[in-house]
Amino acid sequence: MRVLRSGAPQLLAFAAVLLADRLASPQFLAVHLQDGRLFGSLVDVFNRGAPVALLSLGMVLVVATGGIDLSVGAVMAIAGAVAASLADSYPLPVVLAAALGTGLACGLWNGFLVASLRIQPIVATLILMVAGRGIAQLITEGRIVTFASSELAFLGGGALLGVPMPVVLVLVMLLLTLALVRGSALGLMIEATGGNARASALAGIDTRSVTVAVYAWSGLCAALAGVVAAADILGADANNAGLWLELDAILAVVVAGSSLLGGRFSLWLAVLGAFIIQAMNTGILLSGLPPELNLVVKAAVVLAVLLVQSPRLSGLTLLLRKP
Amino acid sequence: MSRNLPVLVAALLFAAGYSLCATQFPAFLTTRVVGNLLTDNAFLGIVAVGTTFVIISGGIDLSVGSVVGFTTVFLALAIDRWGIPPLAAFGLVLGAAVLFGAAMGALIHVFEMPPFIVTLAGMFLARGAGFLLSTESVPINAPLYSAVADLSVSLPGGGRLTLTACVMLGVFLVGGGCSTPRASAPQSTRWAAAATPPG
Repeated sequence: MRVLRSGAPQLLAFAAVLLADRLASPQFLAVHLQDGRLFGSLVDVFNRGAPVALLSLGMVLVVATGGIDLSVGAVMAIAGAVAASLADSYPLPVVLAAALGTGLACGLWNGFLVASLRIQPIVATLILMVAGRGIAQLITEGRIVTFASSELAFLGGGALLGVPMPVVLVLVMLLLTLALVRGSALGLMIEATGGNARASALAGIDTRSVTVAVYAWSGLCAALAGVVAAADILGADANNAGLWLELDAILAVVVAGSSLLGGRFSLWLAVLGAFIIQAMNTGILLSGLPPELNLVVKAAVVLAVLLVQSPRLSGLTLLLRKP
Repeated sequence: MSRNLPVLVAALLFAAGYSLCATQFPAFLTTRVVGNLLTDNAFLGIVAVGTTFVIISGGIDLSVGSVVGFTTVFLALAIDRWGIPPLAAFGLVLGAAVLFGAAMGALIHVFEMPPFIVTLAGMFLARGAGFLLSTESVPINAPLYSAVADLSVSLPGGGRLTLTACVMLGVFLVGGGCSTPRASAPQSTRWAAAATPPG
């Protein structure tokens, strides 16, 4: 119950966006079962939002330590390229292990730069953001690598009990991450590191390992998102896979109410934030408004969310409430 | 010394890269290439001067690229479709961009919002506004443009120092003059304190 109350603004926002979508398109909420998979615009919101939701799961932890990971889009491209290149010659477990391992390695590299070399997170992850697309192109040799493996394709287009696989993967990763950080003291340590790294270190928290761990997790989540994106289109596009998605992921984290200065986070709200963003995108496409409007609407929503969360405004409401 | 170290490293990298190119292509040392480099990267240099001030204050501005995009689309439409005289269009768009930046700065300062997200929203807004104006490339046929492109000072060795390059150098000089600390060191905002990595 407490969890629901803390996410009331986000849930209300999601409901409002869905309502607006319903007004724009009468069949928006219609869901029907076909060939063992649910279909409909509402299902599409979750299905299309899955990659960003996966990214935001890793991003929210990085942001909670006061950092930022700009490389997730490029890591998606790298992992997608690895998965697509191996898909037709190796069994699925090997392909997944290779792709996720690559993402983990990318995350460890970011964590090393930030935690050990003390490079500012925004600059440290910018390196891989720029270089990552080049690495992905080296793997695909500049082509769009396609594959025919139905096992890998299942991760993008398949369904489990009617639920599309990308959504299932988001749920699995959400539960796994929740178990890892909230089932142990790790979440507290992450928040402590973001709140005051020096004090946490003095209190005995190994802030360096915590920082490396969150970037590694972000890399892993990004790699899974890349595999899903590649499985979805049966191919890896080094230039466009995950392009600008790091910004959407950061946006989802901010919509979730996490402070960019670190110190607090909510995993399920970050996932909800990703779906709110996707619901807006889908709504604009369905409504027949020019898709160019998408960015303007997104900007307006971001500003509205920021205004609601602004410390100055919350100070005002406190003043109003006191007398 | 440590204050100037990054500048020194950047200068050495530039010198090393340029020498490497010069050994591969001897023509790289001619004033023609130097002049063209200045002309082709004038827009980048001008943007860099502006971003420097934002970063000195401890913030960041992600929106600059989109604002460059919006400005070009707006100018092309204003001059060629709406018939506004080029110089008036320049003034109009410069004023609009200044107001846009000031609005983002006001949001960051007054509402204590993180610069990263505010300018991210600004980036979406400017790119979206540019898309709304036109999603196609719009040619500019105003005679002023070709006249400005031809305006240049000849350098010894066949190179040309164009007006655009001079504008960039001018902006750089003015920016450098404004940012040199005189009595007091540059003040960092609360965002600068937050930008240090954890650990």
